[in-house]
Amino acid sequence: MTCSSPDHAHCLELFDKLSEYIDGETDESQRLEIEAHIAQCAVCLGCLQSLRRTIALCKEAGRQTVPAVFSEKLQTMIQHIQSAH
Amino acid sequence: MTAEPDPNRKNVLDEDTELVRAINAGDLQRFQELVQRYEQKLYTFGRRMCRDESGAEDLVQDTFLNVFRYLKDFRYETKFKNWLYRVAANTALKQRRRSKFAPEPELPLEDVLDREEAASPAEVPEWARMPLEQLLNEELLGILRQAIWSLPEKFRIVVVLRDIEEFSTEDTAQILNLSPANVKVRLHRGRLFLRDKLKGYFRHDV
Repeated sequence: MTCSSPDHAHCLELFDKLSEYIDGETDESQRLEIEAHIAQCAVCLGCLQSLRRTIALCKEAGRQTVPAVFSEKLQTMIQHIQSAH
Repeated sequence: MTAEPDPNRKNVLDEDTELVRAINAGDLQRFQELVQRYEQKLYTFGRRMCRDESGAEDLVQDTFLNVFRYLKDFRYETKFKNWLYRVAANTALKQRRRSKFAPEPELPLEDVLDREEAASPAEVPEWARMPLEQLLNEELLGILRQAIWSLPEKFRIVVVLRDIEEFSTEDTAQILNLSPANVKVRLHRGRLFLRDKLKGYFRHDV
C-alpha cells in the first residue's frame, strides 16, 4: 500500500483489521484508531470503501433462484425416500 | 456427523426445533416442509460452491439425503441451521475430493498487499462511490461469481457463509469447526482477493 501517511507500517497494520472493522468486530480502541487513521489517510479510506463495496456486490452476486424443474425433481426424490421408510 | 452428547450443553431452541422434533418423532411427511424451507438457501450455497448448475443441484440433493439419513442424530445442541450447513459443507468437500485431488492453493495476504503497492490512487475509486444500483449489471455479477469460484475452497466457503448466507463469525466457525479468529483471517483474505478482481475489472471496463 502506498500511503500519504508518514507511518506506512501503521497502514499495513490497520489494513489487516479492515474486515473486522467493517463487521463491527473490533474492540473500541481499535475502532477509534482506525477511524482516526482513515480520517487523514486517503489510501486507507479508499481501501476501506472498496472493500465495503466488494462485500455489498458479493451479496448481490450470491442470489440465484432455484429452477422450478429442479425443485420438482427434489420433491419427487423426497417423496421417494419418504415412501421407502 | 454423529457426536456424543455433552451433558454440560443446553439444548438450543430455534425456529426449526419444533419441525425437526416432529420429523424425528416419526412425522416424516413434514420433511418436505424442511426441504421447502431451505432449498433456496442451499441452492444459493451450492451455486457459489460448485462450478456449475448440475454440481449445485447434486450438492442440494445429496445434502437433503444426508439430512434425512442423519437427522435422528441431531442433538439440538446447536442451531439446526448450523448443523444443516455443516452437512452441506461436508457434502461439498466430499464432492470436490471426488472430482479432483490437487491441493488447494494458499492465498497469502502478502501477495495482496504487494499488489497494493502498485500506485493506488489516493482517493476512493469511482466504483466504490457510485450508487450500487448504477453499478450492477449481469456482466459484473458474472465476473464476481467467477471470481468467487476461483477462490481456493477454504476461503470461498468462508466468504459464501459470511457474506452471502450472512452467518455470523461464531456460527461460521461452528459450521466449519474453525476458530473465530481463523474465520476472520480467511474472510479478510477472501474479500481482498475479490476486491482485487473487481479493481482489475473496473480498471479496464469503467
